Amino acid sequence: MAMLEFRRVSKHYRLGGHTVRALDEVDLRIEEGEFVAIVGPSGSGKSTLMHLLGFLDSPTSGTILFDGMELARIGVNRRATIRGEKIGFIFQSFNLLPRLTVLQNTLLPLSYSRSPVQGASKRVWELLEQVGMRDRAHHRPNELSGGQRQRVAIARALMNNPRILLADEPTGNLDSQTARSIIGLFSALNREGRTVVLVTHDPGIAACSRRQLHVLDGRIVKEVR
Amino acid sequence: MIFLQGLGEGIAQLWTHKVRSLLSISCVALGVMSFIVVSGLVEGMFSGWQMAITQIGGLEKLTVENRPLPAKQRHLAGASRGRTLEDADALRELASFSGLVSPEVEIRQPISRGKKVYHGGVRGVLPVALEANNLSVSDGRFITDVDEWNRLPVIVLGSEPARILFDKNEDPLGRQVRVQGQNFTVVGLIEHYEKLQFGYNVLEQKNRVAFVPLSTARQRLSRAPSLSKLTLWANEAGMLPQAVDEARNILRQTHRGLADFDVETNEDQFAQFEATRRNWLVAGAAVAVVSLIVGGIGIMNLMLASIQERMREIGLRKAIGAWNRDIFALFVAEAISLTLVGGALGILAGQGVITVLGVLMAKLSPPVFSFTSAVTGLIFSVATGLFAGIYPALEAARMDPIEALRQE
Repeated sequence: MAMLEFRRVSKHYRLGGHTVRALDEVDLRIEEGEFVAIVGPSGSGKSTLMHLLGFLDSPTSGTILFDGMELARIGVNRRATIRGEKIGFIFQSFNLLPRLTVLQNTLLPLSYSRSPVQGASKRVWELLEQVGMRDRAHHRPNELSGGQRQRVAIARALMNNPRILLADEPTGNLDSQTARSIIGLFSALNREGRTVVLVTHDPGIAACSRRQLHVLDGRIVKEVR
Repeated sequence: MIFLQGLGEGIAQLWTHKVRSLLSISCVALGVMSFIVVSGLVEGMFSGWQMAITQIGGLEKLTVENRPLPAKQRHLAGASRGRTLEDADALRELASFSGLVSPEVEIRQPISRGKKVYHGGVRGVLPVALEANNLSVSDGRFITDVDEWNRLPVIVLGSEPARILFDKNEDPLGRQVRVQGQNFTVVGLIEHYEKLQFGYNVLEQKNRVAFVPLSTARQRLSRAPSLSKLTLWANEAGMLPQAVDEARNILRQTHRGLADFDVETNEDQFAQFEATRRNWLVAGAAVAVVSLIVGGIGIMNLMLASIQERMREIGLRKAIGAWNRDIFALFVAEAISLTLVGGALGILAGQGVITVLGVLMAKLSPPVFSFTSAVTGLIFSVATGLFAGIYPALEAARMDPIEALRQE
């Protein structure tokens, strides 16, 4: 059974009287342990795909299955909990809370975890070690470089030990050298068995993944393995 | 847990935007401060008044007053003798709901000593008058039963006649004063009473007294058969209605059915006192409520601005698992933490103002800082935070995470 499965999923928006088909009958399966890149120009529908993958949005039609559960059957709060516990989000603009330290930012997902987390205080240090931010634990985001901030964001995404990491243009705000090291971090995580889905418009970044889905006009037009 | 986190976030926000936050919470602080100061002033003012009311006899006091006869008894006017010693004796013997009975005759004659004259008059009383009038003797003794039985020419002076009739270095005890051409020996002095309110001694009436035995007064100073005052005290304030009914029944006997008297109480005065105090407190609370509403609107505005600035944060929190109600609780708690700080500042400011006023008004009736009004102020400010936080928090909770995350 696929970890994540889309069956003829469409997403339409009403925009100024027109219907925008952001996604058009997409079929997609993502298995446990995959490293998938979703590639496409802006406006291609890759962000919509990302939101649906991350349970942030629901489709206009079609079925989304996560671990065999059907998204349509899950309530808003339960969906939020699944996001919190099973999905780790990484954003282009990091989205760290400026008032909190690196350590506090990394611990933030615990506030909304509905199941008890064992050994969180030990785990947070291991994660910071893993992303190379252990010695910056008590700094605030504005004291860090872009690459360092993204590393903290990755540690935060890993805090609840999610099934899947969803990264939306994670290198969009970084220079190419820093970007390479961040992608290297994703590859390392994937080698440890973590499922990673990366959304990017940069074919060079996408090339680092093991499977590339090219999205255009709301459809998956090409798949490269 | 999330609520506590919200309180912490609120304080952190306040710290990040010090000027903006302080401006917004200052109205809350002013509201709480004004409430505390006004209620302090009211309490200060009324504690003096309350003391004065207690001193004039308290709630248990019953006074027997003369009344003109009703029309159908008017032809019996010749038989009406007013309040008599007989009434006092009957009340003392028969009344079970009342204890002390104090009959009195008032002699409106000056007291003189050489060229010094006191114009306040003399009261003929029984020994019970000391307790009945809430007085105590500072020097010598009060009128005794022996004085009363033997109609002795003795007099007990309050501090005011004593001050007028005697020099500072003179001891009035044992000296003679004259009333209506007769000598009276000073046997005792009443304590001096003082409680200043707006520069006026509300207890001055207790100093303007001069007592002689009732029998002496009736024999030597006044031939009138009736009393000028008849007062009695109920054993318990709660038994007041019964005591009044009982006294009326007893007096109807001694007055042989003539309705030429009535029994009155201080209840009306107490009721008026309570009503006035409540009005003042309501006025103070109204001022506070207006400033708190203004403050609440300020806080609401601040929260709305804060939410606009923190849309991405809201989106992020939702992405990492926050439920709508978590976001709601977070922002309500933030609003409450702001108003709580405002309330606490208001209490401190109120206490400061009360302390300063206490020094400035030391001779008048200084305001009192009360714990109750501080707690009430805090409750008010929490309520303001709740009222101000609900709408912005709902806005935040309803936000679509995708829209929120898209904001730059």
